[in-house]
Amino acid sequence: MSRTTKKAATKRKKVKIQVKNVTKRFGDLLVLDNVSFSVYENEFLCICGPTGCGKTTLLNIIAGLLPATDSTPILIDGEPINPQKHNISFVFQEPSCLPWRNVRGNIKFGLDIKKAVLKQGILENEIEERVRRIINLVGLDEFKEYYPHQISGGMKQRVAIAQAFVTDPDLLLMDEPFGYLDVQTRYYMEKEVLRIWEKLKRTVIFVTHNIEEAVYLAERIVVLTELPARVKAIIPIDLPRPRDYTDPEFVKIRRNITNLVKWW
Amino acid sequence: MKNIVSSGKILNILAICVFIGLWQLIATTIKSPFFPDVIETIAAFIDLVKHGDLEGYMLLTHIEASLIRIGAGFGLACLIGIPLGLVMGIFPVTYEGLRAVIEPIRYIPPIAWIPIIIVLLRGFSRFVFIIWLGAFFPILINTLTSIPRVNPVHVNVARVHGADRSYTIRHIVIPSVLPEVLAGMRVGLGVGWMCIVSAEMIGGEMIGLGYLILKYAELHMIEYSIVGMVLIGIIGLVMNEVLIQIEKRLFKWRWEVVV
Repeated sequence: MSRTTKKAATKRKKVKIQVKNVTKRFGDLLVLDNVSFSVYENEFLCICGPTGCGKTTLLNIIAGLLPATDSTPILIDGEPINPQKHNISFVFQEPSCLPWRNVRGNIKFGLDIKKAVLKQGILENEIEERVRRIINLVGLDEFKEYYPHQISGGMKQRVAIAQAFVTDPDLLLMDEPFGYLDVQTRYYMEKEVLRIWEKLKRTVIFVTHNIEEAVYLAERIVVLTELPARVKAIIPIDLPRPRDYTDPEFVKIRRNITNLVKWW
Repeated sequence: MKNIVSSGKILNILAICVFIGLWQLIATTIKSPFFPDVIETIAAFIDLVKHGDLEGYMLLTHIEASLIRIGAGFGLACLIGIPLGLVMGIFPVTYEGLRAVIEPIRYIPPIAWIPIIIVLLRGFSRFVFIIWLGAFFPILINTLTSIPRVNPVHVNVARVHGADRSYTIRHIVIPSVLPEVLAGMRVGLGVGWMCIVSAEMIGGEMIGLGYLILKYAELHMIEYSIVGMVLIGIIGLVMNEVLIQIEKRLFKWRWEVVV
């Protein structure tokens, strides 16, 4: 995307997700302390913070997997978020492919639920078509009949990403999805996820402790403090894409955020 | 891989030969009329195949009767054990609450139930109950202990997409535990089959491999009893192999671990 169209896009920014005053305690341990931020429609937002600062907890709360101890309801398009109502997708840090379903079956899983449980009127041949398109987009055509144990870790994460995007999610949550991958695969996957996001334009919240990854991916970065996590800063990254890790501007932003995240 | 298989086969044949040799050696050494040698046993087998037993029942009739009984007892054990195991696994409080009853019963050998069964049950239900006792607990315990091992990430994937509890159980929990349920079934089938002699001790019918063993033992025709023993062993082996093949077909998605 060129700089000018991006500017135009930022002008009519619409708030998609509103996270307000989220507090979470595990027993006596205060993990999240009054965390608030919002996410614009089709934005790629990264949440960055020191290890163990409660990023995953925050994401689980947003997804509805974990109740907040205290919070204003998290809003999506102005309504309280509800996985039974909104299309939410989650790419987990650990491998999440169902071992008894092949690649195609795994990618289809979310749509199967939407159809069977939520009675969304999706026709079976539409499901097939969407699955076929996304398999093609993530480059797994040759592997669609393979089972998870037959493919590599990077491919498994691509399956999870395809499963997440294929439902046309209102909100896509990604929890350090490349944490288990080696560095080369990780660079490759970052490029891939941007390519898919630019093509499909969804609202993404991407959690990472890797600052370089955040600066490479994000339109804005929410920096959290160490435990208990509060929002320390929200930093817009206005670099043109594709971004270059060695660009002096990139390095400067990375250094600034590193200084913010530092807790030692 | 091929080499390992064929060398395994050769070793098995060798092991059988050594076993038969040892048996023959012990028989010729102790020279007891109550310890038949291999040749007498084979002769007894041929006699049973050709002429049937003393009451005129053919060997196949005995085998068939025992198989029907194991089928009924084992089938009932699966029918009760698997759903109950799922429920108790999904609602651990039920298992915790019933633990004090279930666990001690589990350790009572089926043969110890015989006096009570004689009083309470009649006919076919006696066979079924004893075999059921043997098969039920491995199936129940394997099923219920497999539930906590369901990967929580898989459950979360379903929940995030909006799955309700019933969908999650049907599409995540059950496929996850199926391999262990089948493993429990295999153990249960083995234990149930081992109870066939106890069951036929009190079943009150004159057919069945267990009954054959007992009858000929009373008559001190031990070579005929041994034919029954060997047949029980071989049939058990075959049933186990069949289940293993089913497991391999069903769960080809599992890691093929080679140690």
